[in-house]
Amino acid sequence: MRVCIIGAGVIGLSTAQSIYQHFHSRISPLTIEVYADVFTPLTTSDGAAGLWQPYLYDKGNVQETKWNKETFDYLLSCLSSPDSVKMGIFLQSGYNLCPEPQPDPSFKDAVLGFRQLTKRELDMFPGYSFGWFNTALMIEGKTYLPWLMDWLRQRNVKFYQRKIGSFKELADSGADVIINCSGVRSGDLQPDPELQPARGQIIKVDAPWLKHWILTHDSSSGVYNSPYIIPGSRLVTVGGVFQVGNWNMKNSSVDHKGIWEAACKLEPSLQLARIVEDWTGLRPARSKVRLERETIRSGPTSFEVIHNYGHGGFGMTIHRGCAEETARLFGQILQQKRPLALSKSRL
Amino acid sequence: MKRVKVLVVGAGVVGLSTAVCVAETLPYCSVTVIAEKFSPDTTGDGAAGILLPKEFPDIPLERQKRWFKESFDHLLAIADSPQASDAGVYLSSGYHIFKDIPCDKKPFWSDFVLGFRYMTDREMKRFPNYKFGQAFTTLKCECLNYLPWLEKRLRAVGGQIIHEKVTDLQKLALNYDAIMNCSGLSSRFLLKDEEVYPIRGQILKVSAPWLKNFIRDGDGNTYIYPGIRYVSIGGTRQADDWRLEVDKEDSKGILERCCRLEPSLRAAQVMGEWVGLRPGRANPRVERQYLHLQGRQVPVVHNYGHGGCGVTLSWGTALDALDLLRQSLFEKPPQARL
Repeated sequence: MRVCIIGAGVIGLSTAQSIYQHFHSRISPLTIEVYADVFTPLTTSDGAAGLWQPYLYDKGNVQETKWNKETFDYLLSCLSSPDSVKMGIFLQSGYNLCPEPQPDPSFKDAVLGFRQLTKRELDMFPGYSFGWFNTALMIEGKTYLPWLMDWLRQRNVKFYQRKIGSFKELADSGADVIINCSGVRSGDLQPDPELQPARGQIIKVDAPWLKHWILTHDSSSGVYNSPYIIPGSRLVTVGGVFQVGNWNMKNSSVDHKGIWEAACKLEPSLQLARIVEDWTGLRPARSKVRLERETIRSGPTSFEVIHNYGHGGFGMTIHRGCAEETARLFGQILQQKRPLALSKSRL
Repeated sequence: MKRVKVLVVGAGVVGLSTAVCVAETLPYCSVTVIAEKFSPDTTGDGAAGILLPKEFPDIPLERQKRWFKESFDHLLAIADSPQASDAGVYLSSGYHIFKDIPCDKKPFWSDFVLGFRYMTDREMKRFPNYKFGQAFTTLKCECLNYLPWLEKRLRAVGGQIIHEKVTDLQKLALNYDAIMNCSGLSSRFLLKDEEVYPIRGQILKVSAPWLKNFIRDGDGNTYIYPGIRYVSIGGTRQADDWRLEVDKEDSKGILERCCRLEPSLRAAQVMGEWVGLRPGRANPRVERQYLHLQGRQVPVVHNYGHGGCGVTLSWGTALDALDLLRQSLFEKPPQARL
């Protein structure tokens, strides 16, 4: 069985991991290959601040809320493993600030110690009269992705640096199942009007006295278009913007100024912080995550594709839940292809 | 009003806080700080600087509350300002965990820190040997930054500094109108106060920049405090122990206990070790005395013996000391007994 995964961001790599974990002892041989035009540290995931936090409300997308929680619980269990530092996982507490009262967010039960902010705490953030405090997990792309690649390499997963032109290209070369984790550029493989880039720009800053993340929410400006400050293990990520339809990968000085001014108002101590660099990335925004099977006809034959893309600004947050679901769909495909082979396998 | 010459003995966190309080509040006072040790060689410089008080047995609770609240509020305003990184003051959240449920689950200071609550069951799962915990946000005030910052503030209002060891208060009192004694552990020698004794503390400085929240065992002997440059892990509380040298057995014990609380520390690199002698005393001494010399009554305001709560109570006790000084400058001193 030859599985070809397109994309080596957090989605592609974690999908490879889940498939290996669930099926390597049940199918022999199981060849897993990852094809991508860019690898860490050049993927979208590498720029992410790495805070586990879904959007405030799931708008009925209960599947996504389930996958988010699954990811949190998985990462929390990794925290006690000796690999936690190598994986780039650690706990950090922080503030979600709103200009006025809001209903409880979707993630209130997933995170640790969720509570409302007290008046004294809100006094520290003029302009915000409501909010929450909780302890969440950080998962830094720049560390997690290399760890995942190492994990996969040790288990003979192969990597190919190449831009795939079409699913057919891989099918013709003998792929049994293709898994599409190509993120924001999935449209190049198959047009999807629901998928759009949501450009983000961040400023990386040296401010080691900051020990809490601070996210602001302003329903008028939209998610991530409001300032946020997220300390990492080395530098602090300051954002943000969320510009739908903007494909420009270059840093904008206008955005820099806007982000910096808003962040310094939010956290006055930033004014004396040393700015290290800017970074721009394109979030693969979609009305909801596309996680489904598709059978594609190619002349007399057909081949199986599993789509796993469109994770917007919450790829790190949801990755494990989606990877496990993709593995489940892969299992379905196997059942259909080789029902006898699977029934003989050990569990 | 004639210029009043005030001498502050001691340039640790209590001495400099007291000096700044006096210099900034009483414009008719000229303040001089005299000390043998300045940052980075004071006791506070090695302290993690987490604001966390303990309850002293003989001081009225209202006064202790006031000491802590005033210190906390003063530092919170700094943390919330552009000065925060210069002053080394910032918010720090974390967990205070107990192996046995304490009698006082909600200590007197719980109202003054931010967001005080009990830990949830899920949060306690990380600490299987512990039965109870408190979660809150407090402040961290790092003396390596804070003391030089206070010194700048002092100089900005005309304060003076003298680098010299004080051995004779009486002699100094000849040249000053009032003395603020903030000599910490040295009060034992300077004043022959036998109630002051060292409580030796050792810490390890480790590089673990992924740690953001503090963890402190309620018994005070094991703690992990993430700082600006490194994480301070500790500790020891050895009464009457004057040793300033690093004890390798202590280091071993500290590492073992802290790694058990926070396994990721096993991946951390030890950058150094430090030993400090907390100025222990049953209660901090914040009160006024008079020195009688050559027909003069020189008020001496004592502000020492803060134990491990120097940073925690520095501003509040400095304000108290300022009040005592103010009172003594405006009232008639008691008649000298013959």
